[in-house]
Amino acid sequence: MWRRVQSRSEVIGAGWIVRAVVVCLFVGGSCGGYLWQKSQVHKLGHEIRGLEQDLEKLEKGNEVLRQRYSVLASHRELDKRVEQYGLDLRSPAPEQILRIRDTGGRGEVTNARAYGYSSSRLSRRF
Amino acid sequence: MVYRTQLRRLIAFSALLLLGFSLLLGRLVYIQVFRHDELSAKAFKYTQRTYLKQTRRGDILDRNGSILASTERLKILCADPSRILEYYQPLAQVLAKELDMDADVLAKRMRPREYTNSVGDVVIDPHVRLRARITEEKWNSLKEVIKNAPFADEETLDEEGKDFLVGLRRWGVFTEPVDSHRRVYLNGELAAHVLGFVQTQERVVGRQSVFFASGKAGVEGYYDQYLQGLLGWRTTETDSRRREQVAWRRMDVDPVDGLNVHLTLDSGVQAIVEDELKAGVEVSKPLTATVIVVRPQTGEILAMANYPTFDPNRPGEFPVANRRNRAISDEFEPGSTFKSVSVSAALSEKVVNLSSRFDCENGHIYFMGRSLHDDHRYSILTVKDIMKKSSNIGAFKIARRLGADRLHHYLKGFGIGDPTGIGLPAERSGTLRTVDKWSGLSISRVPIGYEIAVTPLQITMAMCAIANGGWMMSPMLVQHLTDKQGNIVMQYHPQRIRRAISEEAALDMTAALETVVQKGGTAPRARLEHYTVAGKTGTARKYIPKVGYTRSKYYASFIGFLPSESPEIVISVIFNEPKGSIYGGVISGPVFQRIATKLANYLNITPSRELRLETRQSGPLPVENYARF
Repeated sequence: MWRRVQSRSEVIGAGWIVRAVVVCLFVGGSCGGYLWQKSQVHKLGHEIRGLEQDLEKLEKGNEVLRQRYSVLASHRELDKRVEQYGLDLRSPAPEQILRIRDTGGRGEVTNARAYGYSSSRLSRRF
Repeated sequence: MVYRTQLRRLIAFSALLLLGFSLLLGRLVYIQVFRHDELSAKAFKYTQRTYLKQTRRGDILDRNGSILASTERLKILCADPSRILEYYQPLAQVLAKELDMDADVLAKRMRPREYTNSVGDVVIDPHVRLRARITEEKWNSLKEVIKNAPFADEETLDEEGKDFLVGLRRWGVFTEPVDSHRRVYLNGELAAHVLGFVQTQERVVGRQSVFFASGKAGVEGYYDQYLQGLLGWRTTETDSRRREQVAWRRMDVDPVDGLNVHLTLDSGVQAIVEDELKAGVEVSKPLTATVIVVRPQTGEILAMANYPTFDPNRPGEFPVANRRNRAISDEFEPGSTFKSVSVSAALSEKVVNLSSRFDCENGHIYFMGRSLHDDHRYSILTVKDIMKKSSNIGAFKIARRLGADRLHHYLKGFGIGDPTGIGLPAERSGTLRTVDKWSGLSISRVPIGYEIAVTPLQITMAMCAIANGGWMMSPMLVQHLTDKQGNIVMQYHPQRIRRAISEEAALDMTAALETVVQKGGTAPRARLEHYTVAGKTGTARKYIPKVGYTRSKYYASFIGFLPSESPEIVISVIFNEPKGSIYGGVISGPVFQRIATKLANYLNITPSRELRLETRQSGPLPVENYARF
């Protein structure tokens, strides 16, 4: 009986070997794939974390710049700069301001009249 | 036989193998099933972390979008003494230089201390806080310094010692995952009383400490629930080096940032007002002073300034009195500015008109056994002149003709005795007694601004009603609330409360108030070159409890608007106990004039037509006449 078994093993064909190799490859491939997928998940997680940190940094930087802009554009800061650079800027007196009212195309400039500007003088100014 | 032996061996080996696997399986079942809860809890404890995500308190912005109050994110610096051990002293020396702290204090904090943890192991405390607030830049420079600092002669150390130093440099000093926040008021004292201030508290949520800023005054206090926002959190797993395993995040809830509050305040107007208030205070050295600027058509507050003031970045360094918003929290007897209210009532009821004449008794009259004076002796004055000269006797006679009941009804209509509802904490309602509680004298005192009390904002809003044609407007301090993306979440609109006086009465009163700044009026110094101004002065004696009305302490005020033909802004200037002159027209009038000149230019208000023509005829004024800003 044992001999018969031995003799059977001797007749294992190439087909079985191919099947065994395929199974081994499948199992090995699955393991490799699993590991590759895990490492990808880890790598992507690392990347996500890095990007999140970058985003946070940018948001913080943006906040700081927004605050700095607000300070630089503030009334007092501008005053200080005007004085610092000796620009000698003054607000215009009311009679130095020309106000043009939109009259719907009729072209009447009421304030200019009040200040005695002729239309030709106005056109030269603008 | 050989085969049988082999078979037996095979069976025995298989049985052993099976037994081994059975034991393993049993152990597996024991661990996975019977001790599942206990062990999973233990594993959870070692790997699972829940981080809170700090919310960002909303900004406070002015009407042009300039940031007035914002939040700065800061790091919380910590150390792990278990990774520092005997190197705590050299590390403290390094950190002390960078942090500008005492090295001994730092060394004391970083000295390793043992304690027994919940599992029963004796361990070194791995977490001590070194400083609650450091900037991102400071933290980055600290990391560099620690990286390069020589803690020991590394050549003499063995491999283990070298590895320990690597660990010290990498993990010995760290920052907490949740940032600390600090409220910053970018313009310092600007609009301090309107903005208010916050108090930062540290609370432990779960096992993590979080910094909360809660508003304590001003807009910060009143809109605290909108500014606060909601905390977020993340439940995740970490590896042995406490690095987060992003793939194992279980919950990730983003924080909801606080809403941004957009005020009606204009920081440009506020700066002009505060500068001029400061200049006025230097001249007249009052105890306190208040200036309010309002758009009468909408009730929008453009500026609100008080003296003395404080810096909301460090409120604790100022006396409590400096932090008080006197525009809404101080009540005072307004004196003659109140005549504009009481005479308007008579005009609205048509019991008088601007030409009605009253005998002002040459400046002195007895009523109910008490005397009532005018500053100057007047005989017959019209209603218009009564306002121009600010005659107490004239105002009393007008009010007497109106009657106490009707006067009281109109005063209620002007909002006297009720809070304005501006939306700031600690607003006072003023005092207006019911008519049945008035004494016989009250009809001679109330119309001239005594026996009643108002807040500066109340009297300013009453003047707004005269300026806008008779409508009491609700004071408006907030335009809208926006979220982080800038979407409007809540919009506020101008609100008419009620009609206080008729439109004709308002126009008549405006005409009367225009004469106040003219020659012969009480406030010629409040007159502007290019704009018509209507306003009223007030010089009120202060009431000292147990002493009565004193002749040494006064409120000097001027409340006016411009241009009087189409009012754009109402400005009230109120000085409490000025030194030197006591008159509203002398003390507050010039401050009003300077503020109004600058604001008219800043707000691009069209000059009044008649005055423009006058100016053209007389030639333009030299530029030097206009204050720069």
